[in-house]
Amino acid sequence: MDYTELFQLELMDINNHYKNKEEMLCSVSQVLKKKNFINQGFYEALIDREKSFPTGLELAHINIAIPHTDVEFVKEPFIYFVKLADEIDFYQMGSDDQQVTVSVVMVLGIKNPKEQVGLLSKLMELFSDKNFVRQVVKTEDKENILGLVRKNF
Amino acid sequence: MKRIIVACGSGVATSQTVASKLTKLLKERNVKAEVEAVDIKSIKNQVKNADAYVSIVNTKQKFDIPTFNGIAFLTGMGQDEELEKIIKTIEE
Repeated sequence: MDYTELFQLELMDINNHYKNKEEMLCSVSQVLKKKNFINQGFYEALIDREKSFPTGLELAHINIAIPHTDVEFVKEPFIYFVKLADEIDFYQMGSDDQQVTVSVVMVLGIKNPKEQVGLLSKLMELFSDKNFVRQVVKTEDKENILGLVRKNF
Repeated sequence: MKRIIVACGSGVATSQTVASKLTKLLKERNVKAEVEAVDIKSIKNQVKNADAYVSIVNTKQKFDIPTFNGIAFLTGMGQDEELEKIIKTIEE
């Protein structure tokens, strides 16, 4: 499977201001619904899952979050890329009290877990790379970020 | 063969990723073990026939089998130490 196709220009949100993760994920869900990537209930399922199983990740050079939920809410696989204007708080995966302040969020729309098993490891590899992270952080333009991600994937 | 289970919240992304990473790492070290991603909802039954549990969720529950930190295999941070601990347990 070609993971680069999961990233799309219309599913990129760069340098917008959100107060918290709820506001950001709500905006993301609205776009996904309009473009028919998800089913009704996706947002609620995402928030619920984040409460019980948070997805914030502290990596060596950047903190990210990878919210996702059950396959039944996903119509078409996707990765929604959000580079935040202001960092927002998530909880660290595997904890319920440790906060991580993240600057990049990738909402993962996973339809076939077995097929997409390489996806997350590739994402981790990419976002653990110092040079890649530095470039993503300084790039402000949607098309350039998309190009950067696709080139390195 | 020894059996290692990995569990995350929905079983769609993280547990599958950690299971495949761990399988690869154990193979490289010639450690024979079966690694399987399981659903957190069935964890109580799953631990009964497993030798080790790699956890990606915060669970206050304590199990009778050795439990390891799965996040290390996702982020790569602290991965080597965690791998050594698992190998030690499996080879005992």
